[in-house]
Amino acid sequence: MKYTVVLNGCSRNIYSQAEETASFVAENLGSAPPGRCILFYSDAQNKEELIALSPAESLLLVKVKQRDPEYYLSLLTGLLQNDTSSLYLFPGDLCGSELAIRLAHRLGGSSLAAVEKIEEDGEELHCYKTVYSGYLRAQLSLRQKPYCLSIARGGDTRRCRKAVKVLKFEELDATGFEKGSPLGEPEYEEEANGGLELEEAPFILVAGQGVNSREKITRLKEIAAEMGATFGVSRPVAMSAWAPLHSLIGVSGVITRPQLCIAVGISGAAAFFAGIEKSKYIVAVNIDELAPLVQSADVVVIDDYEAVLEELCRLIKEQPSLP
Amino acid sequence: MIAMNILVCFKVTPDLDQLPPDGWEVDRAALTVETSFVKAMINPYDESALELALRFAEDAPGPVKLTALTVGDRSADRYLKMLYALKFDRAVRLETGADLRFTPEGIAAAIAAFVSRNPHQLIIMGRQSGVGDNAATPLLAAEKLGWPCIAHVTEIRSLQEDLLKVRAQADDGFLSYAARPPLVAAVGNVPHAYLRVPTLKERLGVREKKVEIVAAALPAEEGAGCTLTGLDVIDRRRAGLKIEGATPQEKAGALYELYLKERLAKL
Amino acid sequence: MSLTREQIVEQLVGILGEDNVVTDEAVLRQSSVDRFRRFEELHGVFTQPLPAAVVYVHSTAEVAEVLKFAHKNLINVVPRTGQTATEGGLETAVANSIVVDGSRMNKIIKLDTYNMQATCQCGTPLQVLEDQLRALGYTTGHSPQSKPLAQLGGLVATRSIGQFSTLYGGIEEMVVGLEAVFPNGHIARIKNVPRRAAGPDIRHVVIGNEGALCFITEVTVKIYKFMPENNILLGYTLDRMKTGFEILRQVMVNGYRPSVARLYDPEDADYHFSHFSEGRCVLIFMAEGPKAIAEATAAAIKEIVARHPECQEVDSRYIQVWFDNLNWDASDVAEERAEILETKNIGNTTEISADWEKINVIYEACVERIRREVPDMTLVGGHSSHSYINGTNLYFVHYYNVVDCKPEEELTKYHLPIKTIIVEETLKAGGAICHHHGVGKYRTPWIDQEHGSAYYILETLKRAFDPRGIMNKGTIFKG
Ligand SMILES: Cc1cc2nc3c(=O)[nH]c(=O)nc-3n(C[C@H](O)[C@H](O)[C@H](O)COP(=O)(O)OP(=O)(O)OC[C@H]3O[C@@H](n4cnc5c(N)ncnc54)[C@H](O)[C@@H]3O)c2cc1C
Ligand SMILES: Cc1cc2nc3c(=O)[nH]c(=O)nc-3n(C[C@H](O)[C@H](O)[C@H](O)COP(=O)(O)OP(=O)(O)OC[C@H]3O[C@@H](n4cnc5c(N)ncnc54)[C@H](O)[C@@H]3O)c2cc1C
Repeated sequence: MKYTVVLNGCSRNIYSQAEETASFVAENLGSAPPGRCILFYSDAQNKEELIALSPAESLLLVKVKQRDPEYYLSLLTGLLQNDTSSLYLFPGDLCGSELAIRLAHRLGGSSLAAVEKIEEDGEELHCYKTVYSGYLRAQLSLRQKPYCLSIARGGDTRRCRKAVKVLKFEELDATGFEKGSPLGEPEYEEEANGGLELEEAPFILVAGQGVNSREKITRLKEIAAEMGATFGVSRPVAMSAWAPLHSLIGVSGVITRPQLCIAVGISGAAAFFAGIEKSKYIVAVNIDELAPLVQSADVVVIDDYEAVLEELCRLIKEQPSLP
Repeated sequence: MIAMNILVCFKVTPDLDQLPPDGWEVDRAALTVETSFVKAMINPYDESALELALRFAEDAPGPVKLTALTVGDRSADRYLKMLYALKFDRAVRLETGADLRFTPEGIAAAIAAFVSRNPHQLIIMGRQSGVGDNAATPLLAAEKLGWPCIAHVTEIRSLQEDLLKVRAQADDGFLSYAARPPLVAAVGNVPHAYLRVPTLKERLGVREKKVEIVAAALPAEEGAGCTLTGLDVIDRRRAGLKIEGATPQEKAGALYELYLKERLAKL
Repeated sequence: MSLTREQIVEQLVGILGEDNVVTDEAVLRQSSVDRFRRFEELHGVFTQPLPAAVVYVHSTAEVAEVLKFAHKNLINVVPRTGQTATEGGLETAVANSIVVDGSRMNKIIKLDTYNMQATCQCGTPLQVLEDQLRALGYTTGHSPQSKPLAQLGGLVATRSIGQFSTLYGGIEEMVVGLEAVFPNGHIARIKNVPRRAAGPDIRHVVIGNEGALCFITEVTVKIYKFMPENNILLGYTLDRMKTGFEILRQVMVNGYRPSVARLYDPEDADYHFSHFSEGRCVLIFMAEGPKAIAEATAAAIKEIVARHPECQEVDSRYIQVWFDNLNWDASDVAEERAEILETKNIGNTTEISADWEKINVIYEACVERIRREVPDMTLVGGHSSHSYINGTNLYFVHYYNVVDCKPEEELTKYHLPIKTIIVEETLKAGGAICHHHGVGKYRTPWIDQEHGSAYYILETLKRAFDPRGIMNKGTIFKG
């Protein structure tokens, strides 16, 4: 199956985009002929570094002047008019998942978001993804080519990243391109570290609604810092604006993959759990023995989180070799 | 001044977190799960969309007409009536009788067809809802209408007549647009956006208002769609080892000594 | 001469040590109110006099020392444990009060499965006790919605009641013995016996005292075999509350004891059961206990309901899922707070009781008056959740949008007028104005009317046990 990977090199999460798609390609398209990658970038980017990130042997670097999805979409629609790929792969981030669905429509194909795995089967492509807010896994079959898929985030990116040598390299300067949509160019506001730090963190502390006030969340954030953990929260906490949006973990936020995750005051709804599922080791602290997370953690403490975390923090800080 | 017509699309979904672990039983033949016993709610993203629309209407310099639309069954009617009480001008339900779980194409087509018969300039809807988890309907609606679309929206304001300020989450920050309608806004995570509650008086005031129920056939199995061919419960169980101890401090101590110390050292 | 704030704190530190005396301003503010004033609290507005300190006690002896000190120096004391009080019982009505927190007295002293009783300290969360009992195959039978938060001291002090009360009774039927400390430092232990006729039942001086007579330090409750496998849930929708009350009455009068017997009016049902109630009332039963009894009870209920053709049975799975998600823990409280702050929509409850003849009269009068007289209401409804042979309770639920008023005016504009209506109509009909949340501080104005000529007995208790009036001023007793 001929495939093309599309990456957004203007975004600072480009590394995880590249790793995620490379690992998906390695696991699902190992036997397919070498694919192609289209990578958008703007001036400020380090080109050499971007080239090294390509998950495919053939690379098209497209220099752009705008970094919004609507712009990419117009550009792609033009670029791919005569392309013969039957599969377009996008990372599972906000931009990629939007582009996949909309591009499929423009190319007359079919699409699916957050796909974990694919199997080609004659005239069909079977795709696996979680549904029912993360409680179930569905097999959904697509028939109409080209297939435009965004990948489920948080794939096991470290395991199968093998260096791909770019054999064919092209460049395109699209800075003169007008997207022809009434949407003006957006202003971009950078966030200090966005969710990127959380995504990469080896050790995270996550707080849920059981930590029931802004003050207590703030205290836990301090504890996280003292323990050397990156801090994240569940959706209700972020929706109360007790913590910034980029620290939201779960299907609506960041998918983490730490070595160690300590989750306190979190019930463990599937939509949340998807965000810590890739953790090597999960510790849950909950007063309720029946909370779903108690079953999905490696080790649990059934108690009030406050005293437990204060003490844990003290013990970790006392340790001579801080993480 | 001509009123700006805003369409807000929403979906009523079961609150799946209420289903007990042993309640997840897949009917192998029909590929369904019985969820009708759990409480229904407005999909959280759509709830934000509805509230954003109400705030937009309150603050807009010109007149605004709000239409609430759902594609779904009669379980949505009580929410539509509530939206009348919250000053939505129209509350419409497209009745299809179809299985809507994995048909974002069809739902988007139904929405687009509605808009072509009932002109609107702005569509606001949640980015994703919790049974199909398709995350596609607003995007496809925009494509079908040929409208621009902004996804992961966190804020919509009126800058001046016919010019909107839309803020959206991006992967490494935020994008702020000055946009002119028509536009589809797919609402993402919006802090502080619980839907307001109508008073009894407001509800009484609209008691006679009828939800507009329109029969709509979903376009027959479009090629672009997908077919559900399998459905399985995900087993997420891990060891769940319980730490014993008389006090929280003792438990923290045991947790640290037995399970964390070494792991932390290796980080 | 009364002591200054600093002197009070200093002496408390002398009694309990620095670690157990909290004077942090934020804590004091939080400790000056309970859920009754949570709208103010959420907005960071505190209108009540600040206490001098919150103190943590660890033993009965410490409680006695603190009370003696307060007694001697005329300092108001507010006992507390789980802090789920809803009626102002935790408000510090007097400046420089001492809030005595028993939550760290949380040992389970004995689970006696031979004599079927469990003894624990006042700060034991009911959930913890219940979990340990269930692991052994037993239960207290007590299951208030606040089970994850409330603790035994408070549960006894408020005469609380749980969802299974129609079988197990309220807390007063569960407590077999207890220990309490009186203002003069006297420690009274009421021994655990099955029954006695050794004068009036003195347990009832302590149970329901809301911290206005004594501090409860230890409680022994009955336990029962836990047999959830025999539970049978039944659910119905129906048109009229009147029919529902009549069914409840027939079930009780004919000698059946379901553990759960609940009747929701259409508004309240819409709030909880909109996915199946379709604008009707909802009636719920659970039969439990030994298999044969559970089955016989369920069969009898079915037969009684069948005589009322307007009842339509619903799948019991609706009821099961609702039941599994019913209780409130800290995270639910957090979620509620976030919602109130954003939507300015807040809900409260008022619970009363009356005999079968009067209950529907009160229900109709209250709902009608609140709707008519109080502005900005978003929900006025209620349910009956605890039935007896001679009558039942009504749990009014009232939600409103707080419009055009300062946080500190919310009470006078909405909450108090609603309470007043419910109390007035209940007194008029001859019901009881407090069914299970206690009197707190906002139903005290009517406490003498509630008791009539019997108020003499109640009032005398206060004079006898708290002659200097240092216990939780304004709670239950006037002035
Ligand atoms: C479409 C959709 C997408 C969603 N996306 C996400 C998402 O990305 N991320 C996300 O998080 N959610 C998401 N949700 C919401 C999700 O379904 C849950 O509602 C949410 O995760 C619950 O958050 P929580 O565990 O913090 O709170 P709760 O479910 O309220 O759990 C709080 C827990 O704290 C415990 N607790 C209370 N007090 C204490 C204490 N003192 N000490 C220790 N423990 C205590 C309680 O026992 C309870 O288990 C989504 C929902 C939908 C429908
Ligand atoms: C969500 C929610 C649901 C609820 N559901 C129920 C229900 O189903 N049934 C029910 O009956 N109630 C219910 N309540 C009310 C409340 O939970 C009960 O009144 C409970 O008994 C209070 O226990 P607590 O430990 O929280 O006491 P607190 O709130 O700490 O105190 C309550 C009162 O008792 C006094 N007191 C506390 N400890 C002592 C002591 N050791 N000695 C003397 N006096 C003391 C206090 O001064 C105060 O007046 C509910 C409350 C909430 C918030």
